[in-house]
Formats: sequence, structure tokens, C-alpha cells
Amino acid sequence: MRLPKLQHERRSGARRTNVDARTALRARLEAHAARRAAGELISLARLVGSPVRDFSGRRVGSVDDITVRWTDQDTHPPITGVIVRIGHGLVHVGIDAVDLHHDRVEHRTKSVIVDTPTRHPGAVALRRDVLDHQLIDVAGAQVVRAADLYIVVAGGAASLVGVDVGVRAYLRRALPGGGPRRPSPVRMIDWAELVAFVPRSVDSATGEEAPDPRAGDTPSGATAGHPAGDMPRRATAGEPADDTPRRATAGEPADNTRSPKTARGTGAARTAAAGEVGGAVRLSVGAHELHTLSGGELTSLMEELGRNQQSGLIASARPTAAAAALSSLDPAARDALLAELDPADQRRLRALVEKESA
Amino acid sequence: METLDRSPAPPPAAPARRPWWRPGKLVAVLAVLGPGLIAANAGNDAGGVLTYASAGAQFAYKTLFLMVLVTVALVVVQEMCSRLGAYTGEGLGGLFREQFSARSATGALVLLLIANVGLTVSEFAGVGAAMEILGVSRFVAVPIAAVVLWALTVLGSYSKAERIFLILSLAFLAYPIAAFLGHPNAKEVFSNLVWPHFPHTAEFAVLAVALIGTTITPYMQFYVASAVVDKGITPAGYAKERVDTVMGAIWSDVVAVFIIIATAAAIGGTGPLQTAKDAAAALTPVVGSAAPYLFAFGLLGAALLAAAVVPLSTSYAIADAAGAPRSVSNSLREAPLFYGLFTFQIVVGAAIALAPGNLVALVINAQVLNGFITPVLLTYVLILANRRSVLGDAVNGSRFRVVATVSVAVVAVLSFLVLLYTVKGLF
Repeated sequence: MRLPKLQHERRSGARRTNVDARTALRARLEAHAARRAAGELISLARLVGSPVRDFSGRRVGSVDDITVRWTDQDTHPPITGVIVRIGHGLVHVGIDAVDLHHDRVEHRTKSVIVDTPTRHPGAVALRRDVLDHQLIDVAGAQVVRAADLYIVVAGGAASLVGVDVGVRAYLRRALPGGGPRRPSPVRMIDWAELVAFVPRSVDSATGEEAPDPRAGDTPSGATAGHPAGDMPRRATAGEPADDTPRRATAGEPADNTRSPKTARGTGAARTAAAGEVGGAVRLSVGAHELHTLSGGELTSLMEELGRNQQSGLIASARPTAAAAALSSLDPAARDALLAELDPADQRRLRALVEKESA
Repeated sequence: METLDRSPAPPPAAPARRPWWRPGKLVAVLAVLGPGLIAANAGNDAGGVLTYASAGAQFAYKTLFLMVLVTVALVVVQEMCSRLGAYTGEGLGGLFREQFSARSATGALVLLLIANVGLTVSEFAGVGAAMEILGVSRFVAVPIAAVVLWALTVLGSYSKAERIFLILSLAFLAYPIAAFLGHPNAKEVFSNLVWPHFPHTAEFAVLAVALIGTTITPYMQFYVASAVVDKGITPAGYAKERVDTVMGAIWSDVVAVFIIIATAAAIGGTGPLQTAKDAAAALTPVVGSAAPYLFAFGLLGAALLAAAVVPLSTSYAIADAAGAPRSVSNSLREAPLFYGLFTFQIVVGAAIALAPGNLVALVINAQVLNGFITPVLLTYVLILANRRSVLGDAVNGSRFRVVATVSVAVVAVLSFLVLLYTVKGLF
């Protein structure tokens, strides 16, 4: 899927000082395409809190989050489901069972299968894990925060296509009645050009970090790889013996789809709410793109990132660039960062840093 | 994998220029100290010194027990912020954005901006007060200071000036000596330290909130978290940092207590401080007739130091939350939000400090404003430190949670009472 490039700000090197006629024409065409595309975009920020209606149009809950699956095969992560808030409880509904609209989610069929939301490898909850979090715009070599995420439904499939990093998009959420009903992205970046950080998975059964089956071509495990399995996975921790996904019908009261109390009471639900392990992060699918960054650019990025993200970045960067970036740090900060890497990576990077210093 | 308009790989760049100012680089010459110690001492700025001196002048030793309570709260708060920085690797601005709703986070950051604009006002008022002691009108000194600080910061040559300001502010270390040489009433000091002697008056309540506002200032909370991150302190190294933070908070308040004692011994009970020169009387036992000059240089250094760092710290936190460029190594065009906020605070701070009236009263009022805002921001910090999803196993334990909640609640109740007094006074 190709997304019109609305505006892309490069931090260094390619800042244009003279806008020639050709560029202006291109900008107008892009703006036109962007306006057209904007009408098709579904704003996550707007969707969260919107009503979820059953087949008969009755409200059964509200959207709490949207889940996606990150794989190497998909430039734009496919939406896998919707986490629905029913009373105080949360349930997960697969994307096959619902239609996403700008301001609501509707059950596609008379009955839907719901499941307890849980975090597992390969699955990411957009509101919880990505919205408002730091992302790396690889092409622009800058750190940004996601003010809104945009979803496009095309050919019956929904996918995450872009991120708005503009202050205006954030203010639309922050100010009462702040802005237009439809998204009007101004500083949108194609998801394919971003690297995101998400918490390492937590096994819902044990509460321990789940084995990440991803394998990457970068120095450590903090990288992208392959999906772990299907979504949604059924939770087991604290679940009643009968943990089969429930089928709800249109006429059924909302709390019969899965008791909110049950959902709230399960260990899995609590884990999903807590959801992460000590701030450890892994990188999203575009991590290998970090190999295009130079040492200087890595240094600039690291100055704007939290330390957990810094270690993820270093682990996934080109070793020579990582060593150059590490060389520019204070020895204490460098040691702290290196200590969070795998021993083999530590040794290799230390050797490169010493070589660089020499 | 399909990508759009992939730009060619950028050429290898020279190592990026390290910005001279980062949250953890407030005081280069004190780099050997930990962030907690530096952060806590940064609280003894112009506003702090004048507020403590005013407390000593107006109520003699009666605020000492309050300072003991405030120290406990300061230790608890600074430790939480420091822990948040060490375990999350992020500053409070970013954490607010990630962990709270957009409206809540924005509300908190707006409050931070208001509090720190107030603080900036008090720093420029400190510059004016110091220069008036030295015989220069504040209407000349403050605008020049604002322009010079802005230019030094934006042009990136502030780091050397920062060291000079710091050395000047070390003049306040004369206060502990002055507290002993001034022959305070030891029995009264001890009695007021261990037992409350609070007058039940609106004036005392207002000053109490000002003392809280200047001691547990929101700026320090944001600063210490960022400084811990910047210094690369990890959970593994946090035990050492915790000691540094606790000791820093205690040391900061010990200096504050000495300021109160020295001033009380010199001019205690004479009523609210009218001019900064009056406060200098407390240093007379140390340097005799040179006391006003020593005090003026100390005040000037502390004020100039904080007048740049407080707006920078605020701009950093807000730009961090907004996901906007926030380094002084960026140009004005690259970081408009960061520099725009910085400029706004400098301009507003200097302009209000030029308003006619009593500069000391202006400083105290700015601290009262901080005192009102502090409990709100402390509540955010408390919520974050209570979240296991944020801190994992380093989350507040049950006992610490009780102590922290009580600390925040007491600060909030006191602020609310003063608000009631104020509203009541209006009608």
C-alpha cells in the first residue's frame, strides 16, 4: 500500500532552501492526494472511546484499543482486532468480526467470538504501546512522538499506515472540542519509515517474559523478526476452567459476551493492563532500517531517547555506527548502555569503541 | 518490504556536537556530585534564599519545625522522581505524555509552565534586588540580564558564564557560618526544630506555602528525573543514586535552615523582609560591613544561574512531551517550540520583575504560586511511582506509599487552606 507523502522533515543534510517550480507542483499534487487520502483515514485517537455496536446497532461497549501484528512481511501492520471496554472489563474481538468506521466499530455478524485480551509476541496494542510513545523516524533521523495513528481499510483488510507527529494532532486530543471531526493530518509519516519501541512480551500465564521467537540480523535480540502466532491467543492465567472463547449474539446483553467481572478478574487481564517487563523494549519491524544511520545521527537520536530505547537502538544499529555513537558518550553512560546488551555484543562493541578512540 | 521514497543512506557524518546544556549538565564544575545533590541544591536559588530569609525575619525560628516536615516530603518526592528516571530512562515530561491522557498530561505541563514562569519572575526579581544593593537600577539590570542570558543560551556560549554564576552563588555557603557567629538563641532553635510553634495566622500559612513552594518546587522534580536519565544511571546503579538524592535533599534543607536561623538571629521578629539588603544583615557576623556585597553577589549568581536553567528545563520537559526537537544544539528554526517557550519565559519573567513594587514580596508571591501548583504535580508523580507497569518491582512499597501519600496530602491541605484564607480575604 502506498501512502501519499504529506510532509517529511529531514533533520539534516537535505533541507531545501530553494523550492523550484517542479517541487512546488509535486507538493500541490501530494497535498491533493493527501486531502483525498485523509478522508479514508481512520484516526485511532478518535476511535478510542467510540461506541462498539452490535449487529442490531445497540451499543455494547467502547473501543479501548486496537491490536496489530508486526511481521517482516507487512510494511503496514495488519489490524488484528479491537479491545472493547464493557463496563470495567476488557474483551478482545477479532478484526474479522467487526467493521471499523471513523467514529464507531460495528459487529459484522449477529454473533461474535470474544476473547480475553492478552499480550504476546508479535502483537501490539496501538493505544497502549505506540500512541504518545517515542518513535524513530529513520528517513528523517529524528525522534518523534505519535500524536495520532491512522488506519486504512482497503480490500476488506485494515492496516496501520501512518503516524501523525504534529503538535496540532496532539492538541486535537488535549483540548476540549479541539479540532475537526475528521482527521486532518499535517505531519504524517508513513509507518514504513518508522521504528517503534514496544515492551517485551509478558507471558500471561506466568507473568514472566515470554520467549520471543523473533530472530534478526542485528547484534542482539532487540530486533524484528517473525510473528509468534495467531491473534488473539487465549489467556490461561487465572482463567476459569472453561476458557473457550464465548460467542455472543446480537440480542444477548453485553455482559453475557464475557462477564466484565470475569475479564477484570483474570490474571491475564491484569497482565495485559500491566503488560510489560521493567521497561525492556524490542524494536518494531523496521529495525533493520537503522543500518542506514550514521554514527552522528545515532548520537543525535540517542540524546532524545530514554535509556531503554537507547540500548534497543544501539543493539540494532550498524556496529560501526553504534561504536561511533557510544564513543561520544560519557564513560559512565556508555558502560550503563553496554551493560544492557548481550555479552557478545558488549565485547564486540567495546572492541570497536576502543578502536575508534585509538 | 515495500517502502516509500526511501532517501539514500545519509553519508557518514561527523560526530554530532554535544549540546552544552542538558538536564544533567547544570553545573559542570560539580559534575562529580550526583544529580540528586545538585538538583536539591538548585532549589536554593534567589527565590529560595529570599523566602527563607523572609521567614527568619518575620517569624524568627517558628518555621523551623515546618522545614523539618518539608525536608521529609522533599526526600520522599525527590527519591520518587529519581527512581522514575533511573528505572524508566525517561524524564517526567515524556512519562506524563505516555502514561496519562492527553488532557491530563497537557494540564500538568501547563501548570509546570505557570509555576516555572513564576520561578523565572522571582529569579529576575533576584537579579534586580542584587543589582540594587550594588547601586544599579533594576530597570537597567533586569533587561540587560534577560537579553544577555537569552543570547548566551541561544548562541551556545552560556556554559562558561554558568560556572561564574555558580561560583558567585557559593557565597551562600557563608550562611551556616553566620548562623553560628550570629549567636542565635540555641534553646529556642532546638525547641522550634523538634516541636511545632505555629502561629495561627493567615500570614504564617501563606509563608508556609511559600516555603513549601520554594523547597519542593516542581522544577526540581522534573530536573532530577531528567538528570538521572542524562547521567545514565540504571536500576543497577540506583542504590548509590538513592543515597545521593536523599543526602542532597537533606543538605539543601540544612542550608535553608541555616539561612532562617542566621536571619532570625540578626533581624528576627522585625516583620516581613522589605528589601534584599535587610537580608544581607544576617551575613554581617561573617564579613562585617561587606555583608551586603557578599549577599548581592551570591544572590546575583544564584538568580542568573536559575534564570536560564529554569526556563530551559521547562522548555525541555514540554518539548519532550510534544515530541519536538529540544536541544540547544538545534537551530532556532529546527526547534521552534523549544526556543519559543524559552523566549516566552525569559520575556515574561523579566517583564513582570520590572513591575513597580516590592521585589521581595514579588518573589514570595511567586513561591506561593509554586506552592499551590506543587501538590497537583506531586499527585501525578505519586501515581506514576505507584504504577507497577511503570516501575516494575521498583514500584512504591506499601509503607513508602503511605508516607508519600501523607506528604502529598499535607502539602495539598496546606495549600488549600491558604487558598481559602486568600479567597476569604477578598470578601
